[in-house]
Amino acid sequence: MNAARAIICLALIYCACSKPRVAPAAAAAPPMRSPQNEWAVVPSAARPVTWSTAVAGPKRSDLDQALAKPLEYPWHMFDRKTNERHEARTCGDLLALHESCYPMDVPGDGGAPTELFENDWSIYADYVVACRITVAIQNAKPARVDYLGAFPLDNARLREIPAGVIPTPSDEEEKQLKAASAKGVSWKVWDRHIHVTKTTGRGVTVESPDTYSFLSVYGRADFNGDGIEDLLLWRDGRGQEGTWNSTAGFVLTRLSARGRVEILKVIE
Amino acid sequence: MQLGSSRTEAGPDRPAPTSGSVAGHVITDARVFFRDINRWEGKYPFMYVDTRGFVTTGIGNKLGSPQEAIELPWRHATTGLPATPAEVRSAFQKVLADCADFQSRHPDGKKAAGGPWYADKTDLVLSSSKVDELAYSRIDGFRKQLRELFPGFDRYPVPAQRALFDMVYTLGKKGLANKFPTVVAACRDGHFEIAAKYCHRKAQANEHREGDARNVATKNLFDEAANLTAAVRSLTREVRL
Repeated sequence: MNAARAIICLALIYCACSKPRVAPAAAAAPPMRSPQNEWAVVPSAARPVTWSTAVAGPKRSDLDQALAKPLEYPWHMFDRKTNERHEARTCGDLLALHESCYPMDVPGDGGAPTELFENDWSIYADYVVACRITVAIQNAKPARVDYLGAFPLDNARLREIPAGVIPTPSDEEEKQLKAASAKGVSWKVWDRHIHVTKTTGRGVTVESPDTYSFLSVYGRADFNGDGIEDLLLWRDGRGQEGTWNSTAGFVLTRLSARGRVEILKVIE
Repeated sequence: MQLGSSRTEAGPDRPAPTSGSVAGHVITDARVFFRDINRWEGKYPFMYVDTRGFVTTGIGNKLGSPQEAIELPWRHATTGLPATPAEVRSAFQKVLADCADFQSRHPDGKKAAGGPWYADKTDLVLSSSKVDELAYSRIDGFRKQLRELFPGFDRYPVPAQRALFDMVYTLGKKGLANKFPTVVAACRDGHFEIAAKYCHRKAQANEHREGDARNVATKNLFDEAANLTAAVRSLTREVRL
């Protein structure tokens, strides 16, 4: 009996260690369930940091170099105090300049810089969030235990993902969503109409009459140093009407096998 | 009485595409709203793909299909010659293809390119007057939605109308009604000072924008409306005394 347990244990460790470093965005390792149908703890000394190909290539060096990768086009950044112009050509540049500078459009014909329009502000904001997520994954550590399990993004997961992940343009509703999340209210409980409308290799689209969101798992690792594996969920949300949108990364975790999924941190 | 009448704000140099009177009060000149959305949303005469993946032109004017694009009077920027339907269709498909290509190279959150990136992707442009005409047409649509949500909309102080117009543009009618019930109720009751307190939109483009300028502008408009309303009430009391 002991030998059998040892073999199972070794097999579990092997499975955990042999997981590819790059986790597909919408899929993950097959779930391991205990007889009680709960997520099993994987007793590994180090569950490696994994990330989506959306973040960086498969090698650790790809992740390390992600901040230095040239952007499609530079952002023209202007210092708030000196009005000095800089160019953000990489994520690293952008994050370094973001706090002290603001972006402007610089016409190709040498004309005066102009304020960004709404659409371009949204894109700039997406860039900032995406770059911050890369940094978060770079700084994450391998975990010792995992209570989240496979966590495939599907309709069942909407009953687990906290209501605080729901995109909203309203400060009032945001407060309500945070309070509801703290009480364990899930996205599906808050908005019974929400459901998956499209699944691709990169993630899922979830919609309700009010909102439209794209969700993708960007990484799994220990993001807060407690040894427990967390999941970094990208959420690009907007209304079904209007122009507002909201992009953020949510670090989700489950602190025990029977625990609920909680939001550890929001990257925005 | 129309508070803060828009006639003087509209500017004297251009005809007002939509103005007139309904039930004895002046309807706010559409140019007032046009100036506001032009300030925030910007104006591109070419086709681009917006953050939602829709081919768009002008001031956020969505082109739902190649056919919708073909119905517009595109011309070649280089020669000034009118574009043929086939050329318009081709341009529509090209910006979508360019967007898809951009996304394939940027599978992360940096998934969309800004409007200026599309400036040289096609050669077709709309005239400035056509872009404005499209915008005015949408302004009429938004104003209709606002009247449905606020039966007394045309009697609101102009600053309140402008603030609500900006909100319905960014949130949609449903978004304004469902996500900002306090603002809706406050405006219906004429308490624009309450609307000023609760009108902040958590849209990321607003929050990253320098100084949260769009939200601040909306709040200031509601505050201005509250001050105007208070002044009129005070004046009315004095006249009665």
